[in-house]
Amino acid sequence: MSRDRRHRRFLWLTLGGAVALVTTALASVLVGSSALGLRDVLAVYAAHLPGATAAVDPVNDAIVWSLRTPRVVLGAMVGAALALAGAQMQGLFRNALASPDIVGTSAGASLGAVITLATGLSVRSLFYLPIFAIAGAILALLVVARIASRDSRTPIATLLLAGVALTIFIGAINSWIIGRSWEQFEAARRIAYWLLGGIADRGWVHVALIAPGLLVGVVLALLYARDLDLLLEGEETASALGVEVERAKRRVLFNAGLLTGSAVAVSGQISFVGLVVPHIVRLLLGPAHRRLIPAAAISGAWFVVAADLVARTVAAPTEIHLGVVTSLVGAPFFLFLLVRYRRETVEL
Amino acid sequence: MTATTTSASPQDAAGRGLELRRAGVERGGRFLVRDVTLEVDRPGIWCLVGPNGSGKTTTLRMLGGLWRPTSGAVQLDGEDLASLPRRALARRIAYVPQESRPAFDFTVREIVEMGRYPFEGRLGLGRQSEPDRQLIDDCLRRTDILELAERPVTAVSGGELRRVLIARCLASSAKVLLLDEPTANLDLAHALEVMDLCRELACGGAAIVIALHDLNAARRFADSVALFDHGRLVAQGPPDQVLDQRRILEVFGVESRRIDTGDGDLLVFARRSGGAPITREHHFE
Repeated sequence: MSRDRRHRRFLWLTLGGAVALVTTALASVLVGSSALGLRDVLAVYAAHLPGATAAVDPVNDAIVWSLRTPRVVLGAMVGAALALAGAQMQGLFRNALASPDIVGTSAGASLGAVITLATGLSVRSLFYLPIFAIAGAILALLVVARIASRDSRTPIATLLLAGVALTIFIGAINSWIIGRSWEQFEAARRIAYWLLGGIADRGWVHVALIAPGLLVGVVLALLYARDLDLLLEGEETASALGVEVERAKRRVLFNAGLLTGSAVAVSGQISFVGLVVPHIVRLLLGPAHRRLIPAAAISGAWFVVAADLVARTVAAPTEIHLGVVTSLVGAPFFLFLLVRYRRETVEL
Repeated sequence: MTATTTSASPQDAAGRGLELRRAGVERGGRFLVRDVTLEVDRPGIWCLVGPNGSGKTTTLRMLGGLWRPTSGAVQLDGEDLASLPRRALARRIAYVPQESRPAFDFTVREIVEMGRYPFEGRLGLGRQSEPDRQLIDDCLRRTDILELAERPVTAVSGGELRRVLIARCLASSAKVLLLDEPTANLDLAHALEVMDLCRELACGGAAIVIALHDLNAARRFADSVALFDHGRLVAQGPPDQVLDQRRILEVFGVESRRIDTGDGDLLVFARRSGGAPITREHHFE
């Protein structure tokens, strides 16, 4: 597939993705237990424009502005963050199966989050939540990179095993902390709320929690897109071509942790987004990160918003957990990839 | 009054090209390479030869600034390599490691464009200026892979891949090329193609340092040969002088004979006379 064709596809995918994102988001705001018309929704948005004076139905306002819109916005942001984290980790480990949930980064982030919730730090300021989650994610990444990478290569088997071990280990610590905090009702309630949450019952404050990490993450990802291209060629080659390899790796690792931590802090674990989205985008656009990064961000945002729409509507009036929907799509895809790589005996 | 001499190359003005001065690398209490002094001070082909683990690759890595010597120094035009930023270095020295099997399906053109990395800014969506595009086309043409430009690099043959990687070196406009076993795993025709390409580039003003196993190829293509044994540089000079029977026996442990083919001499090899097994403690890199 020629580069020009890939570039055309990139334009179509980002443009189409943006349109699909807006359409799906709007649909998600419209659909729900109380039926609203497009006119009602637009009226609410118009009322929130700066300088607007028109009065709207307070019930409609509560539903559209306080419940559904922040949820959709948060979903888009979480999806973008996870997809970006996955795209960068796949570049960093030179391994198309690396992603936040597979190699234990999300687990590290959740440990950070659980600690802030259990100790009550999150009561003092909600912003402790993303900060600790980011720290946990970066720590987990450092551990995996340390264990699984050898001579600048990261074989699939060791990467996955290190991820599994780390996830189980952290899960045990989490269970222990949660078990202990069960005696304190408030802490237990906070943790349960966070664990079950996904992106349901989240508000604008959660958008504010993820926003700084996502913003910085997007900018850094774009700045280091080219370095990631060269890292895919191997560290020695990248170094010979002019990349400060150790510095670039540190920054990418930090950035992947930042994005994962920010997402997990507000949404808990939403599996497989970071694996499936960058992977499919890479199949369509090729490995060049200057195309992959923006396209993955938009596709990831759309994927989570769409999955959330499905989660809310498919078994209405009850809701399915968002993570269930992404896993139902993602897990078979992951297995398909494993089988495919085994057959091709490609060491990635 | 001083007249500027137009014929002087930049190297003459600034220093002495790329040189190792009593350079050595010690890893885990063992010297991989010791006391190597080597000057790459003019265009041409330098071949590093020697048994497995004799220090060829380590020497190339030092020359490329990828490994710092633990003793001695590596200098480029009088400047210590360690003091140069990687980007600056990449504009002047290009390096192709031995194992360079591509795992990701960049197009051939995208791979060659990576050679421009040290000249690129951080932003931009990969759209290039017209001069850069022409330069890339030129590199593709000189290595005869222009028609492969839009093909995924995972779908080209071994010989083509070598030319792609050399094209990437050219794109960086480096004047010194370091190639580790560029003919490994290539069939005869492709190996000759790669060596001919190196010869062409050397004639065009590049200094090319090649780690090579094939002694006949070294004799045929090299302007200068450096023979390594157990991490030491044991001989250096014109191929015919360096690769004589005595040294080949000493270093490789094989008998050799020189045969006049009418089109240059050819070395043929046989096990050490007497049939005794070769017992040399060769460590592998």
